[in-house]
Amino acid sequence: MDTIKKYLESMFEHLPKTIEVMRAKDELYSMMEDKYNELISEGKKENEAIGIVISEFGNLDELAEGLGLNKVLDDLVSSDRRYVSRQEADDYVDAAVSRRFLLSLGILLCILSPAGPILLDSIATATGLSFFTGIGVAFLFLCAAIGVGFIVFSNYSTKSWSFLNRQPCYIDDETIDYLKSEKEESQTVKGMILAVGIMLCIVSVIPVIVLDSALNIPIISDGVGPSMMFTLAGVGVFLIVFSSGRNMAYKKLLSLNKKVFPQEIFRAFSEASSKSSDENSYVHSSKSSDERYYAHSNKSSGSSDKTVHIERVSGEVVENVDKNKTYNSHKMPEKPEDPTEKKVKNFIRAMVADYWKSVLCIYIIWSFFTFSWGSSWIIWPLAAILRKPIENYFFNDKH
Amino acid sequence: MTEISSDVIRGYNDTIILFILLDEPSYGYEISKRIRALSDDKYIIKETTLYSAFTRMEKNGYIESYVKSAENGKKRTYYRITENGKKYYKEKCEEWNLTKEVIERFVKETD
Repeated sequence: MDTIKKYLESMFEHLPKTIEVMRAKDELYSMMEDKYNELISEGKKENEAIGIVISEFGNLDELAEGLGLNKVLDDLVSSDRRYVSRQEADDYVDAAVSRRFLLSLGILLCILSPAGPILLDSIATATGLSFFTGIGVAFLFLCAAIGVGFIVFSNYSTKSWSFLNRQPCYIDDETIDYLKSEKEESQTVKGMILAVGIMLCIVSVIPVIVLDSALNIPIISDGVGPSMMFTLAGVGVFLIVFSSGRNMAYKKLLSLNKKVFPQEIFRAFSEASSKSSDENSYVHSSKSSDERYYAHSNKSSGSSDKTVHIERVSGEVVENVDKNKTYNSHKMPEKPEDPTEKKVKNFIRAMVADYWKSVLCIYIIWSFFTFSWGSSWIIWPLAAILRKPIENYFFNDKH
Repeated sequence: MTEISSDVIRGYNDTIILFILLDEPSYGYEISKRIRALSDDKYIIKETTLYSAFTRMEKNGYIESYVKSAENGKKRTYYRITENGKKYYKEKCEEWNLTKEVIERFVKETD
């Protein structure tokens, strides 16, 4: 049966992974499986059965029309997609989770750092030993430095997987099913971690309030209370940031097949227009870090089959990439932007793309300039909550 | 031995499949098995031919598909004929009768 599966897999290897194609593959497999099982139960040898099943399979060209494919698409769009195996997918999820862990740990240390001076300062005041203050300040810088180190390093820990962003890749049905069930399973844990994280952030102010009003000992109300607040908030933010790591890795892998790269469309398109040179067609591709593109097509007169096909297929793909993204085949080309406005936009986009590093920058600058360590940590939970809206805003509604 | 020409039979794959579905809803392999049995092993329909006929006829509204689990728990796509499909089947039968009648007049034994 493995041989048949491999045979079918190789037949479909170069086809785009659309819903129709996947369904066809499943159906064909089901029919072949039935036939194979019956041949075996009739007493045929395995090799014989495989031979018969494969010889009676037929020809994929017959399917093309029904699947909304045409030659242009089979040949060009998916022929050089990189295959990502289930093992690799697993490895990627592990790498993404540990990367997220490092990032969360870095953030935790950054939030925790002001707890040092606060606690040790109050000890210094209580005991009269001023070197405690020094230790506190040293703790702040050390903690922040290590934290920043983790945040920066976390970016590099998944460097070897960056091809997932740069190169067209695909995963097979089995991996898709596997990832979907894994994602489903991880959902509960994610929810629990997230809930605990949010809870900790909220209750973090309780020690300060309670200890301040209940006891009138300076070392407790000025030292232990606030430093406990930072600890609780730090752990809370750690959990909030960490919770979504695994899920995001699954999402990314599951979106690989739907992701179409500008160069693929462009290639398919230029091929088609070179075949029908009388047409006034062009593709305008704009690439940003989340791989967005728009395909425009202006037709002066009569359209050839090829071009129409690509337009339709690429249209479907865009919808798959993200439902919020607008696709308009008759959209006018973008107006040239004012250069300074463009620079600012690019800068903001770069900042959003490197989200956590930007947040770190803002946090450190804000904290050191205003020295309001007591309130500046709030930037972390806010950043975690606002990440989605901000990214959606900058990457989806640019136009 | 003469073999059936796929060019000729192509236009009647739909008729053959609809004939099987007239009795009761069925799924891919069972349909291909019955075609083979009813034709005394003279016509073995290819899987790809069968599947492309399914998608085409479903698009045209001649058949409907639904998923049903078999006795062994395996999920299968079943197909059933629609009213439209029955009408289409009738038309195809009439068309074949005419075709047969015409072609018959041009067929004779030669040596």
